[in-house]
Amino acid sequence: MDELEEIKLTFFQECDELLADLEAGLLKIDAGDAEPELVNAVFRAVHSVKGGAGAFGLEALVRFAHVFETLLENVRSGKIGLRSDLVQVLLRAADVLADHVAAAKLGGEGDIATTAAMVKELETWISGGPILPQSVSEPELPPNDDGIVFTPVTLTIPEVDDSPKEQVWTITFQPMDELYVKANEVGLLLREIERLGEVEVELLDDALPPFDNLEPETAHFAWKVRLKTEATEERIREVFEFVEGDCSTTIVRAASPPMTAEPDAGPDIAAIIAAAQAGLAEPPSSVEAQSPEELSSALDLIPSLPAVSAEVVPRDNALSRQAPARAGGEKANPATIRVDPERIDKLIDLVGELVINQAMLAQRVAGHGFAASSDVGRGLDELEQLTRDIQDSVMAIRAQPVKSVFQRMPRLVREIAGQTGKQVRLVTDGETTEVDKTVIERISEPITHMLRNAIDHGLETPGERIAAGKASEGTVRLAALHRGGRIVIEVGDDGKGIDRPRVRQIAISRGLIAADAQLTDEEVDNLIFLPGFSTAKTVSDISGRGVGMDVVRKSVQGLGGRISISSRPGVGSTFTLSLPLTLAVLDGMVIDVAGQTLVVPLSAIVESLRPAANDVKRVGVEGSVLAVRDAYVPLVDIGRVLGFQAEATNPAEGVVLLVDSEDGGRAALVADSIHGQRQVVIKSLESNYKQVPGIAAATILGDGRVALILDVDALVAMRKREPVRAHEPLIEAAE
Amino acid sequence: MIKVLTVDDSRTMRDMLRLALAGQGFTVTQAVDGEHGLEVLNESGADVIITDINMPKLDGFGFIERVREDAAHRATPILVLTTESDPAKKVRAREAGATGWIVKPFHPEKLLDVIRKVAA
Repeated sequence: MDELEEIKLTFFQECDELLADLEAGLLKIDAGDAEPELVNAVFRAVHSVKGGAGAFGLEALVRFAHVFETLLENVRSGKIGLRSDLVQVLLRAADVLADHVAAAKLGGEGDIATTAAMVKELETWISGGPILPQSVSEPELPPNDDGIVFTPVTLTIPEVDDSPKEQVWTITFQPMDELYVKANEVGLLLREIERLGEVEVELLDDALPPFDNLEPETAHFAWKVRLKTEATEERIREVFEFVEGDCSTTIVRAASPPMTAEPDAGPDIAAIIAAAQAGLAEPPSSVEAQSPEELSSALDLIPSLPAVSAEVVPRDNALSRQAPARAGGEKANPATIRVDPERIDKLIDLVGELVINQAMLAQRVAGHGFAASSDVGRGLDELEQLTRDIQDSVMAIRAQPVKSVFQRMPRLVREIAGQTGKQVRLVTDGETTEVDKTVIERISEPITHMLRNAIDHGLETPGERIAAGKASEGTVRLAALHRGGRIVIEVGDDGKGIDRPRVRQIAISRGLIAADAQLTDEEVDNLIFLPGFSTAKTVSDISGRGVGMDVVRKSVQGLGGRISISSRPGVGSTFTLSLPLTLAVLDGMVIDVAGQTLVVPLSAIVESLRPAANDVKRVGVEGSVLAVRDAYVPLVDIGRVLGFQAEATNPAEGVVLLVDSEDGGRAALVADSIHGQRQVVIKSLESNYKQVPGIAAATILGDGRVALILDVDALVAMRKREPVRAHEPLIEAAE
Repeated sequence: MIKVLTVDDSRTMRDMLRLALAGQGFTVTQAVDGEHGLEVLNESGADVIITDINMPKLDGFGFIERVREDAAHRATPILVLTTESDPAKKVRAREAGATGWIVKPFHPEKLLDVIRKVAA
């Protein structure tokens, strides 16, 4: 990729961060935080977006950012007070800015009408500020006046002129102390003048005091330069651009006498510059009496005179012509290194292999009768610890804070609040909680949906809230935390809570439960996860088109996660998502079925039990159910469904795993035996073999055998569709 | 090799500067704000400093003042790089001790010109 394109990518990445900072800052201000640094940070964010956008010629973005920035500058300088209605405008402007960035990313420009409306609004504030109108009278910067443009340009240099008119100028300049204080150097000024043409330089040392009175921090010299050049006066003045005010300068065009020096024997500029830098062309008469040693030690005392050591500046020291060299300075940017994600994935894969290998080794060593306390056993223990540390560290590379997901939510909340006419405050917590990138990419949708749900269904309208004795503004809380090796995400609201009688009534009317079903509050709450259940009277724009909580639950389960709800009438509801930290490893239950070793994701298992023979009831020809306490649960014979065996295992002789299935009901998986829980490294079956119904993935066990990881939902669904499968092995050889 | 320290909170700008200076005989070091700039300067030194003005923690003005307080860097040229073409900002930067400035937009060649103007 072109390096400039890469920087552009960096720019957009940076924009996302800046926009997040911008919004976070505005929200804090909105919440009453009056810290002046916040306004500065907000200003800087917009400013930086504008600066970068200018560099890439993203003009629409620059134009909008400029207006936005102007208003923020007025706020920052105190010209406009930060009222809450202004903060709302700024928040919306931040949204428009985000739209522009998003559009620019795709090579387009933000919506013209929205932008125009926003610009108008911002300008109203800019000109309508309490005291101004200085800012109006300030000339507005041309919008593309910022940033760097890396397009090849033709520089207009004097030499290009066809009919150069050579003229002679007399330049006199006398630096003040200030010139040196700012690290400007006379030698460099002379060098710049020399670049313009032929020069004759004369040092004026009349002002040099006797040595005894010499003030080391004071400028004593002046210079007179005769310059023969085609350059304009403006160009000559440019040389003095940085020392204007720190140097009295006169530039006069000479009547046009010829240069006194012979053209071929030009002045030794290098020597003159060196002398100028040293500040002493020749020892002035008053100092003559001093010995060279005394003089040089006196000069050492002059810190404000740069380059006292009289370095000779070579004439050809043109910076831009030096040999190309790589900038080796990147070390000073230790914060990040960029790595191709594929390399990390590969590393994670390899570490997975390492974990497996280490487990295999341990098993083999144990098989050879080495005691755990033996040298080999202890060494192996250390290896295991080390392997685990490596795995954790490698996983940490791909870990990202959930912030990237959370930071998209305030805008969503504002939009939904706008659509529903509700007043909502979003509170986020635990944004720095880290989770694997693969998980991050997939939690955004469930969170979005839960937030929509919380505002649309959970919160009351301002009127209802006031009537209920609550603040008119509802609060939605989004939090992330680590708990028990998993990441927990909570979406809570302080709304009306789940309307249980209504949920019950709907469930009955849809035939989801019997009219006389005895359900606990918790069970009623969980009805909303049933497929097709929607408490909204109409399919609203907001909570999705018929997309209910069942879909959320399904996608969460697809991530190996669980979702639960707790609700109190009038107080609010909280949805809790519990997800694995990574999708690369899985907590599984290792079971035996018909001589095969399989892994069931632990997240799917509710409990395991050994049923009594009389708890199993036959239903119809092939089906059977298991009585678990006061409910009947369909039995799923794994071996039969997957085609490992023709005859079903007798549940009473095996073990039954009670699992939550997709349709909200439960099922009982029948296995021969359970080995125990184990963390396994997930290997995609699809990329290594092919997709197999009922199987989610595969793993390699400690003894080197391949074990299949069950897709519980699919398995349960398969049993329903075709209770009896032909006896054909799905996997030819599990080696 | 002339060692240029670039101090800017914008990664884009830092990268842009690096791109413009790399291969032109410069070693580029980078810092993300004024405080970081002081750290990097102490660690690795610099022949020329290019700094942004609007930065968190320690802004460009404060950074320049602090650099000038250090006897070792009193004579180090400091160029202010900013999108402000606001003359008041320029004046303030000069008061703080800035040697010169780079007004954006700049072309890479212009940047080299300006550095040449202040660097020995």
